[in-house]
Amino acid sequence: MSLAASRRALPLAITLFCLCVLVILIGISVGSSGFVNFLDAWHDDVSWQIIWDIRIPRTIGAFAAGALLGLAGALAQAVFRNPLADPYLLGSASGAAFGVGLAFVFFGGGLIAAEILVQIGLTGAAFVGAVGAVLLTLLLARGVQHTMRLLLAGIIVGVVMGAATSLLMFIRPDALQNMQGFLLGSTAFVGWSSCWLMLGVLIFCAGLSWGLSFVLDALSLGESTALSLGVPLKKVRTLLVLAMALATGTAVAHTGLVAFIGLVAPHIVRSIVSVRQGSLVLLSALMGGLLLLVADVLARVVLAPEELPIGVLTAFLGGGYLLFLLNRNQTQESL
Amino acid sequence: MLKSFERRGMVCALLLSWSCACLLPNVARAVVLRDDRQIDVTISNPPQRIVSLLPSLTETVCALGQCSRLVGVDRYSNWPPSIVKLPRMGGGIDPNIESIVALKPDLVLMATSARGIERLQSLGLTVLALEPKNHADIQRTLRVIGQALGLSSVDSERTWQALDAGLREVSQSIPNYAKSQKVYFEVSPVPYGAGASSFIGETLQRLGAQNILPASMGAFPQVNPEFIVRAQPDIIMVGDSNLSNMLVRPGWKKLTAMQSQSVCTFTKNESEVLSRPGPRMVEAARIMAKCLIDKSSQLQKASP
Amino acid sequence: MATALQARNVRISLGAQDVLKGIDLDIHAGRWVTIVGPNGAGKSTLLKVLAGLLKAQGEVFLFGKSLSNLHPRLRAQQLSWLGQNEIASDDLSVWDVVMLGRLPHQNWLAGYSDADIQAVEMALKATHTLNWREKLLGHLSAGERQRVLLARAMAVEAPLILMDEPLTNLDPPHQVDWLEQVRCLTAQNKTVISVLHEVGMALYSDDVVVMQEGLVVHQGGCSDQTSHRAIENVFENRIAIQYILGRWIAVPVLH
Repeated sequence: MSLAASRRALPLAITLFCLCVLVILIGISVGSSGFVNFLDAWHDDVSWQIIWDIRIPRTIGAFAAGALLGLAGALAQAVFRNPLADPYLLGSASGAAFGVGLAFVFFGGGLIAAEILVQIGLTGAAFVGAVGAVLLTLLLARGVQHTMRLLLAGIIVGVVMGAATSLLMFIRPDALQNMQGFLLGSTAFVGWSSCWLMLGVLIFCAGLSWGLSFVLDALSLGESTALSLGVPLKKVRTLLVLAMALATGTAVAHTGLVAFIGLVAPHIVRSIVSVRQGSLVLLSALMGGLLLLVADVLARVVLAPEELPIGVLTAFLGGGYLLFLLNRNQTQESL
Repeated sequence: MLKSFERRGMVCALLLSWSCACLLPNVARAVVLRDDRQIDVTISNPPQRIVSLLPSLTETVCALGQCSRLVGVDRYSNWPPSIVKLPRMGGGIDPNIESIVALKPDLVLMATSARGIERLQSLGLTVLALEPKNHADIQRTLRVIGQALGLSSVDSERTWQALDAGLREVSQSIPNYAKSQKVYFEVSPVPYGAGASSFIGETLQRLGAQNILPASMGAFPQVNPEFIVRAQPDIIMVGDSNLSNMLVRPGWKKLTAMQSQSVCTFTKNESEVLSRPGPRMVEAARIMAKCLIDKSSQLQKASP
Repeated sequence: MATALQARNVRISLGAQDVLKGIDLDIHAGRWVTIVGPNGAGKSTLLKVLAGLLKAQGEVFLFGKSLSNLHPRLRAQQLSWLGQNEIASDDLSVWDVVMLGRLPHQNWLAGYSDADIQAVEMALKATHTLNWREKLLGHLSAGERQRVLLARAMAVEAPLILMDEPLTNLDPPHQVDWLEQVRCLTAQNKTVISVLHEVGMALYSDDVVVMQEGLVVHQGGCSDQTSHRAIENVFENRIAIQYILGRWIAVPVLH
């Protein structure tokens, strides 16, 4: 990378990291009674237990989930060479919802399958659903070679899974309210094990994307150019699509369907710096983490002790910023 | 002796006044009711063919002893057993307009939030929209439906009094050690809890239990799980399908209620009784009272 | 003279259409060859097949080795491709773009070597774009971008370069620059194959391949009369090739 590019990327990375740490500290102080400095709670055993068991893992979990979504969004936009791509493009969102719907419908139904489902839990069901949907898309599109076919297959899988989920809700309407919570997103039950899992997947996917980012740079010059440079385009694209599915599935399994983060994080990064794909992916992860952190803290503090669904807040935050970017571009360029 | 002409006139007059006397009750029998949409609905004759599209309204009709007048119900109505054989007309959100009209009902009972009210009305059907959400609503719904069905207000009032007395009896059957327990009722694992202003919350209050969710939070608030942990409920009530994921929540294992096994689970049928504001409110109270008594005595034995 | 590229009975159908109907070609090393023909003759498709970007029936030999058996990395080191502009991202700097041309020579995660830096600088100098190394692609005009892309193709330092419509968006002075750069490359014994629809520019090359409807109708030197007649023929004699001011020029024929 040229010196100027690394000079651009590093300060932003450091800034984002510091902001994340700051918001995490704020998040640990925000609980069911609003904002209370967590250091005050040091002496109170009950409060400290709550902070340790509940607040810290869910706050760090919000960062991890947001980072996973930001990373997946940057990957989606690079692999599909389309700035409107988001991590849910290949049907992962609908697949996760279908998995969760199935779990709700069969839970407590006394079926043998229910025992297995209890073991896997809702988290497992959402993850299996998300990754399963992407694999189905890959199967329908017969590989990653043709981007258009892949996108179309993703839409088909998304729509069909959505319809299947609606059918499940029709059969068991009492599962509808449970589903709503999942669909709107929440970090309420993210514990330490979920936290470590998400951070682990984040590090793995980030490392993989960084290592393979040279292919994404070549790809940004055009498919024929990338092929002519001898890069293993097909293998790497498949790997990156799977990494995207892994990251998205993990995030969605623990925090539900959170809108906009994957779409918006890479755009915000690109409006601040111009960097190569490797840095873009990592910076998008940091930005996504920060966005979801802010949304989560706001969701907990605005109506304490009630909570807003974070999906609503991310839509407002992300959508608002996109609107601002759009207006800025319109005033700069004349059509 | 009256002349035949005058006799005929008297007979005519008698017949006329007699038929007027017969007609008058019919005219008097037309009722105008205000339903939950705040719209006045005119019912000219006591309906004999009723379609109900909300389970609590179905149960209300049957509680007033008029089950026989039902010709169609929604797919979720399942009590009393006698109505199970009736044809299903879809749900509240997706009523089957054609089947409803085909039954030629003279009254359709629906929730105010149901779809298709205007459609059915434009097809000439009489629709009464009611959606009971708490005890006061149950009383009012009994009265309105009683009137709509042409019953005397005494009948519906008597039914209500019986329910109210039943509830009082259940409440009184709860021993002192089981009163004033802090209760958390979870409706769905988001978590959504039942607040004090919901039907479930009201029943709990009548049974002398303390709801950890105050009335200011609304009927079904989405709660920060921290709040629940802090509040340390004595008893947790939840549907049996949701218990398993409660056990794995971070920090919840340490809740006293979890450790002392003071968690009541309800089957699907019991959950339905608990959440339908209707004439089975006494049974709902009984289910919750049993839970309160069982768990409280368990707690008592554990710590004297 | 060594043969850089050979094609034997190359056929390809795209969809229901037969685009190439049996092409035989011999291209010698150190020559600049241009492929000309009317629209739809299959020129770009042929170039892509020769570059190994499209799978076709028949055989293509790169420096004597069969293209289909060649490892992509080895092929990338020997064959450089400059295609039509398909860039999606405006965020790369000129330096980054041209450095991407060094990918066939770089090891994974190894970063770039001095040889890479030298190659990139030489390519930038040759295309007169050295001053723009830190500029972002999005801030360049279409013509400037085209020169950067040419630098990228040259940075590969491959003995064979294939270019599809490389003069797009270039103004006349820069078209002349490009001519000089190609002459430089052939002087280093590199082989250049270009597809041009500007017949006038094509006449500057060493050899010409004339195509029509998926077949090669003529292959020969650019100063040969037979080549000129073949070119005039495929364009339905609507152009005439004349010797004016010391060189061959194609003029439109108006009736």
